[in-house]
Amino acid sequence: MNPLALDFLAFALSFAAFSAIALSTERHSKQVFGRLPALAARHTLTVAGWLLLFASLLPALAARGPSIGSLAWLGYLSLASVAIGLMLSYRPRPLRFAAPALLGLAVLAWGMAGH
Amino acid sequence: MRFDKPRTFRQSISWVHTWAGLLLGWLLFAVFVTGTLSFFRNEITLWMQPELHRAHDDGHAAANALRTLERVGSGAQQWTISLPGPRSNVVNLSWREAQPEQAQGSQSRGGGRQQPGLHRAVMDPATGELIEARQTAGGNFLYRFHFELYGMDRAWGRWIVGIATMFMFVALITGVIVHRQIFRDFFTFRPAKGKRSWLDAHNASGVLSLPFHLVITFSGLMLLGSMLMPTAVSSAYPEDSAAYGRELRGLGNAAPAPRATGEAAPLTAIAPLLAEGERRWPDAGVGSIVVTHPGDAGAIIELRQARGDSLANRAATERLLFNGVSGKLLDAPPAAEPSTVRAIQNVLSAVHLGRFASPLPRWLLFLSGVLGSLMVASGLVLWVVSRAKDAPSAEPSLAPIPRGHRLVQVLNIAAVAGLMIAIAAYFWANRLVPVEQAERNLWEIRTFFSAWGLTLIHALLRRHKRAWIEQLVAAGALFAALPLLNTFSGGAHLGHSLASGQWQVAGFDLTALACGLLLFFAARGVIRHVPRVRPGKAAPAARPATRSPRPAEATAAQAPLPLPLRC
Repeated sequence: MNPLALDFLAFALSFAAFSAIALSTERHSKQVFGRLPALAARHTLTVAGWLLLFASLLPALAARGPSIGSLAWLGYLSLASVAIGLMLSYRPRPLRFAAPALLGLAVLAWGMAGH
Repeated sequence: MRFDKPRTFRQSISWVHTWAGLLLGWLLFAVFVTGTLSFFRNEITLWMQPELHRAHDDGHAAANALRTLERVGSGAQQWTISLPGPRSNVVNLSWREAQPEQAQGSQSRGGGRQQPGLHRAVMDPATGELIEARQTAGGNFLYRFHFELYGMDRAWGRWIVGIATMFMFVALITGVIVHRQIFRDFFTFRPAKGKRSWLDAHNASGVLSLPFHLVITFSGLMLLGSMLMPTAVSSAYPEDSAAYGRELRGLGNAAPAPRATGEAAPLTAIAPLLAEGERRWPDAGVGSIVVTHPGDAGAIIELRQARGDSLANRAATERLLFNGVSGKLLDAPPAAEPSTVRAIQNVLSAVHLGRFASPLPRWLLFLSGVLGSLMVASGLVLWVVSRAKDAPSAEPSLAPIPRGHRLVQVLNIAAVAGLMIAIAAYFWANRLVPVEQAERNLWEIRTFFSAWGLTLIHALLRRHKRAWIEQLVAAGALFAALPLLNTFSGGAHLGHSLASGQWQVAGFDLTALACGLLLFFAARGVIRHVPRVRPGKAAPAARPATRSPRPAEATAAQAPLPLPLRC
């Protein structure tokens, strides 16, 4: 399998994870949605974010093995969090769609590369 | 901070962070930037030798190399062929002439030192022609500067960088402690808010790749460790400190080199051997070929895997040994398993040195290094910004700036923007110094330091804001024009390098372009910057419309602070 599809998946998962964590906070969810979501929804986002964060390690390991994979994973985490930080500062609204879109694309690419 | 009054823990830690960061910050910025560039040391050297840009691999590199070596290196004791790969588009050849008395084990010592009887050459993989490339200090100068500076004894340079690394470690740990809301402010960057923005930028660049900063700082300390703490080795190996090195490298089990028979015999065809290598290592491929006793009946051909797929056993790649005449497989020794301690050291040093071939993790490390450089630079600027609040007026201040503050301002400009100019000037010198100039590599380095010195003088002579703008624009222009310079001084231009998949050269040009644009962007920020005034004073009329705060944030704005970059 092409490792690039897995790399992309790892990045998309960590991007989704950090988006969910950012959206679970009061300040950033107001920025993105314009209003504060229900507390239950924010709790769900927190849990989903952390789960996605750990999930993003798996494709990185699958793509590049334990040592380089975990190193690359840290790189994806930085890249994703910087991207989200910049979006929150300059273009917060599209963050609602960015993570699902990216994740969808990554899963699609992964599925196509696998077959 | 006053020491005659009680202070909180956080205040004390903050004091340590501020001053540890400031005193070594200028040096740390240079170490970070040159270190970040060193992840692409080979690519930089390739760019700096435009004679090599046109070479490309057509799949016959190994056969061509053997033919060329038969021509130039006949009678040699050993040939080594490094095949083109993701980081090199040429074949590196070396051949060792038989030495009358050569002790085993003395061969691999002392990295770049010239060994007697050893010849090196660079070959175009497709044509088999040897290429005479210009003399250049290349990426190696930046790499060496990163950990031992320049113009002083190596040990001194390493000590200075080692101490700076220690301060960096202290600054990282204290930085995490003084960070007020590391989780709440995780993604926070509030632009155009004076000191707050600088603090946010400093925090974000530090926190968002904190794992990288910790790993790179710790592994950097470890690489210099045996020099910083020599007693650790001398107490564990009291009699023989060389035993430490031997044990570390896992030497002592190398098989004795086979002897030549003295009977002449032609080498077997290399293609089937390479096919066997590719079959065994489908991902990594064959990285290099070593032929011992070429032309002799006892010739041995050794294929080495291009790279290990683990960071833990760095040099220990798999090998295949063939009879050089019959082509029969003799032995396939597995990669040596490192000890646990050695494996940990290997992982850390491999991460620090980026010892892996695939470009993607290398780019991730590079970007993390850029973030680290931004962290150091924003911290330096923050020092000035935080103290500018002492001057209450937003007008171009007539009140004298404290001498210490002025010193920090000047050093900040020369250390941050000036270094960028120096690096760009280094690349310009590479193309503008005549090819036949004697000591060409030294002229490149002299240009680097002259340019850097000039930026310091410039920063001394000009006003603070003007100096920042002029140097950022100069650095931006020098970087952004590098692709053009490359085009007109014999290199492969972007159109060619992109079309022919020359990623090493294209990557350099595009990165230089991006770097130039970012520097222009930074310069624009300084030009547009209008100092904020304290409440009660009239707001300046010329506030740029693009920077107007969003309604939600405007109400939450803290007491505005005057900014440091006064005209």
